[in-house]
Amino acid sequence: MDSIIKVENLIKRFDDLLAVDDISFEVKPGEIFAFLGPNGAGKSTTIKMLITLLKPTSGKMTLNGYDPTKDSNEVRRSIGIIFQDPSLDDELTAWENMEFHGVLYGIPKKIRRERIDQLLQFVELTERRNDLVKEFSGGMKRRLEIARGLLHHPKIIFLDEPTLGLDPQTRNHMWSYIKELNKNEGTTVFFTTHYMEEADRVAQKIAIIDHGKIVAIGTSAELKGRTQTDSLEDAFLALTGKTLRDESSSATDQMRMRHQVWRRQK
Amino acid sequence: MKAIYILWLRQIKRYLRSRSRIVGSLAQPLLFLISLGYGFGPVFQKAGQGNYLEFLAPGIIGMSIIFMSVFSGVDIVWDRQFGFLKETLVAPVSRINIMIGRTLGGATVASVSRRWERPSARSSMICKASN
Repeated sequence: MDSIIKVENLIKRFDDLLAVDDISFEVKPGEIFAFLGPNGAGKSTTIKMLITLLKPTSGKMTLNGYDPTKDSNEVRRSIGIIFQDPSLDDELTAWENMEFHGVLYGIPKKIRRERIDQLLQFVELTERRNDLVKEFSGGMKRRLEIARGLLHHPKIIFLDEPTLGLDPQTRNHMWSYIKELNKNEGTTVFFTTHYMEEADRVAQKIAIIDHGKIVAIGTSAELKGRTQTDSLEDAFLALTGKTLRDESSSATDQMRMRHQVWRRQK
Repeated sequence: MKAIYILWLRQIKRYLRSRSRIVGSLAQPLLFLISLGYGFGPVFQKAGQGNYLEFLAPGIIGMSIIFMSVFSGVDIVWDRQFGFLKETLVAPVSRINIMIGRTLGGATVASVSRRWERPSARSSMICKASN
């Protein structure tokens, strides 16, 4: 079977920093693929390149048969993304956020309305559909975001640390839904996380990236066998070392910080 | 085309929902109109130049349209901060259409909020005349 995501010799350089250093991997259709790594290892940069938000310095990528650098619209149509930080419009209602997404992705009105109802019901937000998103809790926002990412029935779904800051209940619920989707629709899932036990439980294949290079790739059992450890967490530490990583804050982080300070002063 | 429409609609909805923005966008030009208009009006008239408010109003309307437009530019920065910009950037819509939609939305908000100002400018002129 052909791979749905294929990355060959991908390199991304920011001035003097080599963020992604010649990585290659493949993801098979219908696979749940975990992409792990310490902070600043190059996970987000790789995802950004795959989802057409960043151009690689060199290398080749294919998603669902399309090249993100050339046929970006085709790639965008085939993927759904759930970002690390919320990307909902606070001033719109849950339903309006979904509708906005549906129209942007060109889903015909009748199908769109049906799917919005179904998805809102699934994430148990039907009763809150007409409430503004700014009144939602973190977990509710996340759920809405997941529903929105699935609205256009993507072939591949990207989740960048989707369970960050969620309680175990919501986390479980979310994964059971994603697994169900993976089984019924054959959606390929590509996710990053810092929770090793989550990757261990959900992922069929795991890649570990560190300092921009892929240090290991395989099933959870293979990784544990290779490092002769019992848990994925130990395997991860054995492969990436125990030193703490500092991630320089992005312009957006700095802006958020200023915003918080400014709000406190007010 | 639909993408442009939904981006436009979003701007309008956001504007109508933020009461502070509506009040702010009305208060500032009104303040100018009243304080400058009534403050300098008599001097202007004494110099034989006619109705000062009539002279002032178009300028203030123009100025506040520019202000509102700048605000809708700043909105993009807010969207970036709250992550919403990414949602539009990864959608299968051309960048040009995103820009057109946002610009139209901003332009509509700017001109519509000015429409409310004109009657108030007129009524203050009538007050002036009846004095």
